[in-house]
Amino acid sequence: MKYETKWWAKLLEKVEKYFPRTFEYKGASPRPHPWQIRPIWHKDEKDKIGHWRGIVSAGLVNAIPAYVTMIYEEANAEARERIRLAALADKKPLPKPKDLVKIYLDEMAELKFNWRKVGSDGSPESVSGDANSGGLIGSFEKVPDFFKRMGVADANPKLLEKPPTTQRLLRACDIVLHQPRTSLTNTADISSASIDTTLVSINPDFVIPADREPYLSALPKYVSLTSNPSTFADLVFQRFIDTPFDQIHLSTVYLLSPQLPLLDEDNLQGWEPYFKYNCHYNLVHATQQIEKRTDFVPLTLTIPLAGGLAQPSINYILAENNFFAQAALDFYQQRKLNGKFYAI
Amino acid sequence: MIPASLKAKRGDKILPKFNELLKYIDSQVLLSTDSRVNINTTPNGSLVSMINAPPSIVTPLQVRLLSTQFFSVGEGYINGKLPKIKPSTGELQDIVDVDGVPAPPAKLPETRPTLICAKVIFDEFFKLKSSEIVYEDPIKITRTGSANYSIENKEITGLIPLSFLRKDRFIQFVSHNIQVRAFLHNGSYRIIYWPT
Repeated sequence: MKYETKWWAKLLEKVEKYFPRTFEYKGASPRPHPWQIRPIWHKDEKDKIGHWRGIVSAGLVNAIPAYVTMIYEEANAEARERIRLAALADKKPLPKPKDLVKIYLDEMAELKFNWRKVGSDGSPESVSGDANSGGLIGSFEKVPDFFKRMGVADANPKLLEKPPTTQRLLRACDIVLHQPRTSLTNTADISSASIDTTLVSINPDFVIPADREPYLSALPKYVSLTSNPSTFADLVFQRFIDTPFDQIHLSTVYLLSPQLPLLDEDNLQGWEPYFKYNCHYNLVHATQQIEKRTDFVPLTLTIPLAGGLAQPSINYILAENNFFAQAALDFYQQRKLNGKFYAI
Repeated sequence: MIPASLKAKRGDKILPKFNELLKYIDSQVLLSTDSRVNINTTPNGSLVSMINAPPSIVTPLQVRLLSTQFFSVGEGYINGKLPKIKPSTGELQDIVDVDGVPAPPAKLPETRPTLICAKVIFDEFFKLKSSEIVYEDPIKITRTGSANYSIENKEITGLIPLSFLRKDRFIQFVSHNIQVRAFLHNGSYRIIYWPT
């Protein structure tokens, strides 16, 4: 079939009409989301080098603003006034200028960052030896691709070799939210009740935190805590310690240096902050209520006594212990107190 | 602009030309269309804009401060129903009327900080009977999800915090319409709520 050039021109005209003429990008709304961080460079007369801080937009946990621990004299006037009035009402002395006080996020609390080194000048997370070469192999945190493109080099895992050349340095800090909660403690006593009997006394108890308000901290590196007892033996021998709080990793702050060389690597003024958020919402925290019963591994003792004929008797003796052990484990399993966060 | 190479001349074969055009169209696809992309087609072409923010600018159940003593609550739903509010002058009514106009302002307590909450009441069959906007001292709010059971009228009552006020600015906690359920667990009544 033949086609006419004018038809083709008409088709092109139509295509052009429905193609984008312009493309606009509107940035995020000026209204910050909860936990959004505004960095500020802080330097006072006593602090010769200066340091980075962040003002965190008010984020709520169960509708209560999280707080930051600050030095009293560095808090803003409104927060100081609140503390003064509370001290008057409680008939307590006013905090001293250098005392640490609770400043809530809605009171323009400032969080001081604590940095870790990432990349070529970073410290290894673990070190292992290579028997063949006699060298040391380090395991390092990877530099995010975004910063690699900006000239930050990964660390050399071979510790005895020369570190790689890099154009910039990178620092990082993790912002973590803590929610205090009731926790579990266990005291186990083993004493001899008679010549051939041992009495094991297990005393589980709860620790209720005096202060249940959520708080933020800036940690060099966030490490997730696992606080669930895995086996009955963990409980009895107190290899399990429950933490009196739950925590969630809100964001990571990265600080990128200018092009190397630098006059002073400790002076972070002029470095550029970047933020990676894991959470953009207010949170609800609720402790766990319905738990899955974990499998119990019964105590067993296999000995070639009487050519194996004594085994049923041994199992019989252990059965009672197993019964109590199962009951004790159930008690703990039903009282795992670690909670969960969810957005609202 | 369509590139000049796609313009047809007399004698060109149509199929290769058409394939070229399709390739060109494919290469011009800028982004996938989702709720953040706004496409406005005009006689002169399409205007595409991308907004790095939620498309909605209205927060359900948003609490607004009216002067220093009064507040109102914007349109929002709990289990698909409007909560009720008691204005400072007048009887209990829906937080907004059929046209979306908020109810007259309700009075705030003088104590600070305070929490504006939705008090949800369930009947003995765990069906939501009513929800009402109230205020409460934050330290009096017990554990999340706690609920009380009344023996007299067999009702389960729980509180859902909506907004926090320390001094003169509300910080909104809930940013969605919400679903709430009551349940009995280990002998105690509880409520659970989640965004919809």
